[in-house]
Amino acid sequence: MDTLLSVKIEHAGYAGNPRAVEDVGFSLRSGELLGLIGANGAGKSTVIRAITGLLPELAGTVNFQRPDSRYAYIPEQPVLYDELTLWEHLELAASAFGLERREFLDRAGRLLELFRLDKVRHHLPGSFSKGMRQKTMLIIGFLIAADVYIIDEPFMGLDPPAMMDLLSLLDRQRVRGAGVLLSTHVLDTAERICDSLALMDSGRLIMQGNLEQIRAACNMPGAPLLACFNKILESI
Amino acid sequence: MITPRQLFYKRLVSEWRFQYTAWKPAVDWTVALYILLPATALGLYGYLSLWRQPPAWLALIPLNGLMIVVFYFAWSGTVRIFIEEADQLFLWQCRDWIRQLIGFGLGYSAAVNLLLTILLFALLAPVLLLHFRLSWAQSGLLAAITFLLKMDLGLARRLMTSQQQSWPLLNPRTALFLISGVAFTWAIRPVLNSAALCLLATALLLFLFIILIRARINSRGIFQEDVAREASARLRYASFALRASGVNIKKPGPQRRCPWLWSRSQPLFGERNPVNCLTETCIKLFLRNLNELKLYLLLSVLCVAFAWPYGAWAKLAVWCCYAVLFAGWSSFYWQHTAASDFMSLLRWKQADLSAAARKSIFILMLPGFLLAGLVLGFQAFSWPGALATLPAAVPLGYLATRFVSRFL
Repeated sequence: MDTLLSVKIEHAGYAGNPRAVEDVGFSLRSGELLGLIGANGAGKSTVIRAITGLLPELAGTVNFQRPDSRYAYIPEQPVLYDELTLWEHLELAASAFGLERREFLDRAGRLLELFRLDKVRHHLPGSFSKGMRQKTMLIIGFLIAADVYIIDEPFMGLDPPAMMDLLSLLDRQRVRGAGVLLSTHVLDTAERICDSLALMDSGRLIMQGNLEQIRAACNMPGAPLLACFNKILESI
Repeated sequence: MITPRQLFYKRLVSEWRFQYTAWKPAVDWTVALYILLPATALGLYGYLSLWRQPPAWLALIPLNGLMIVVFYFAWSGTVRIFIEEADQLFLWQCRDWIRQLIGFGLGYSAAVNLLLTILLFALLAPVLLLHFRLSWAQSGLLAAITFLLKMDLGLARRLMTSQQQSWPLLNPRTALFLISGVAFTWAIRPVLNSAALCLLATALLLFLFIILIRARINSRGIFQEDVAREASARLRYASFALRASGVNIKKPGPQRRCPWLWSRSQPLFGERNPVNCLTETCIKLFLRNLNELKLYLLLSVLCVAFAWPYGAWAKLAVWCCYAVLFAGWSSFYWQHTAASDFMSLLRWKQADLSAAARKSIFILMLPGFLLAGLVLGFQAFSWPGALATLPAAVPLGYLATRFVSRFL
């Protein structure tokens, strides 16, 4: 499997705290769903901001597979343009990535139907629910055929059907070859859906691997991820 | 399909529409008819008087003193780049789009700052040409240097990321302010008197301008700061107009860990009761907000400047009317405090709210009103005039506060 994203952060942070995260390194492969796991304040969102170039302080490297690789970023709090309709968001994204008009119309129409947002294509996002806003951001990612999906705390505020929708749609992209980096502190969901996990605490990566590897490292075969995570934290 | 230029124009139109919507309710026909039009007429009369005969009191102001005002103008304001929070979704990774968007924003800011500089120097023209005896060429060069300095300082400030400093003097912004302020006010006279120095100063500022623009367009990692600054810039004056219309605006919060005033949450009043706590909240919210403080100071300076050209007794009469103006202005701060989300979580007695309103407004209006009275009183009747305004300010302020608080 190709490596789509390679992250090697020596330290990264903000003006008042340049070492908010330290020694974080992982790779995301094609078709993989990598879970960035940790409690609130562990540094997950900081790592994501480092990857998306939103941090003022970064020592290290963040390399996408190709210079023209595209990523789709879905932040924890959906941010959309208050004064653009859903359709105008898609047009803007298509223009920014040089999509041909005909191809854009075809893809956008299909995606709006798939996500069941066709009837609100000319509505402003202020009237959308959180699930609808997340779908809008996902549509943008699918429209531009992103290589990497970076999703920060996707399950907060989503009802179970919306969660299933989200996972099912991401699965389709993984089949296409995209990689998904997903941060969450909902460990029982993470252990069921993630191919591999990177556990963070206090700004550092404390363990990574798939669930079996983590269980083996903790000497807790068959144990839930939550139990393994707690054991790791106790041993630090 | 959309181009970066079209996207920029959309954002610009949205910005103008927002400012218009914010100011429209506050400046209705009564404000226009009874305040704006008379103020404009009086201001125009005062300006034309300056052209006919500069007043004798100008002899008290050295050129360096005027340059402090000019420097403050150059320091104030902001450089806009029209970045929005949602740009982080997909636009931020399209560097070419972002570079163009920032470039258009900087171009727009340069045009606005140029217009403001021309306006300022048109207003200062009689003072510069008739009193300080600068030539048209020197005044023009001063305007050019001021414009370039304004752009350079604006760009430099934008490139600085905010620092959480407990000691303000270590703040790089403070250092920039002091160094550039001292350099400008003291060097401007010799620069204007020498063609070579003038050329050198202009070339240096222009060179810095180009370097800073390139640095700004190519900088990364300060996205969140840019978004916060854009939000602040958008609400800079609009928040005042919106509050005047009764809309509670939540501006982007400060990034300090501790407040710079009363950093250990010290109380202002010995007796702890609801009225004192509410008053203390209002005062602390106001004094910890540098933007509000600057606006308040600007109001005081404008009040002094407005009354300055008139005769002694007219000055004092206008000053007495200022009591209502300052009380009204201070009432906005009270209303903002009382309407905040946190306040609505707590149950207050109406009597306590009313008493706190009067106390807050009175305390907040006094400093500006006193300052204006001291300056205008001194100008009218020298030291006796200034000292006479001190005891007069308290009862006038009290009466104005009672009057204004009736409408809350």
